Amino acid sequence: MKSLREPEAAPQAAPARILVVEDDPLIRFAIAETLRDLGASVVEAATADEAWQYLTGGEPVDVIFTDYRMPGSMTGAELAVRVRRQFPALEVVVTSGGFEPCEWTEPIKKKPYSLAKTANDLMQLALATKQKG
Amino acid sequence: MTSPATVVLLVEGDIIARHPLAEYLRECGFTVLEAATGDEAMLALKTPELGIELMLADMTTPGSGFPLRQWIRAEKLAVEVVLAGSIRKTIEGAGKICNEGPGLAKPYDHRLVLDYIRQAMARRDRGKP
Repeated sequence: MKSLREPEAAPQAAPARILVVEDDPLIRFAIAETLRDLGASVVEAATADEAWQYLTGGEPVDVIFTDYRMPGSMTGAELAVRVRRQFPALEVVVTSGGFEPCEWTEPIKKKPYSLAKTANDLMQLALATKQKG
Repeated sequence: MTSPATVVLLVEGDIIARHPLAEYLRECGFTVLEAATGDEAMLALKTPELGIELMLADMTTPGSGFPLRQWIRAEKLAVEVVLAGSIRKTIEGAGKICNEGPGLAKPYDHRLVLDYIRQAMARRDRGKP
C-alpha cells in the first residue's frame, strides 16, 4: 500500500489540489476521503454552481472531477466547458452514469467508478498539471 | 492505540465558508463530512456507517437549523448538535469544538478563518458580473 501512497514528487511538494463536484453526498464523501488519504487537498462542491463560485473566489486547483447530472443552473459538462474557456491550465474530468450527448466532447468517465483507481488517476493528473506549471 | 478521529458533520450552504471551516476542523484532528443542504445532512445522518458523532450546522442553510435538530431528536440519533446563526457563530462553534477535540492544540486561531472567509467572499462578489 505504501508505494501507492507515494507520488513521484518530493514529499514536501505542495499537495495536489482537486475539486470534486458531486451532488450525491455519499459518493462525494467517498471519493474525497480516498483522495485525502492519498495526500490531496480536496475541495467538495455539491453542485456545478458551487464549484464555479469557488473558482470565481480565486482559489486555485489543479484538477476538477465533476459529475455530469446535477441540480442548479449548470450541468457538470457546462461547468467543464466554462472552466476550459476561463481556466485553460486546469484539467477537467467529467463522470456520468450514462452516455448523454452534451457540449463536452472529451471522454467521459463511466459511473460507477473504482474509488482507488479513480483517486490514483486524479492524483497523477494533478501532479502532471503541477509539473506543467 | 489511537482511536479513530471523531466524525463531524458540517452543514453550511456556502462553499466559500464551508471549505475553510472543514479544513480547520480537519487540522484539529476530526474527520469532517461536508453537507451543503439540510437534505444532504439528513442523508448522511441516515447512514450509520459514517459514524457521525457531532453536527455543526449553520442555521441559515436551507433545511438546516431547528427543523433538522428536531428531526435528529425524533429519529433518536446519538448526535451532538451545535447550531449557529451566522458565519461568525459557526466559526466560533468550530473553535470551541476544536478546543475539546482529539487534537493536542488548535492549528491556528479560529478568527483567522473568519478573516480568510471574508476576503474570499469579497473576491467572489467582485467576480460577479
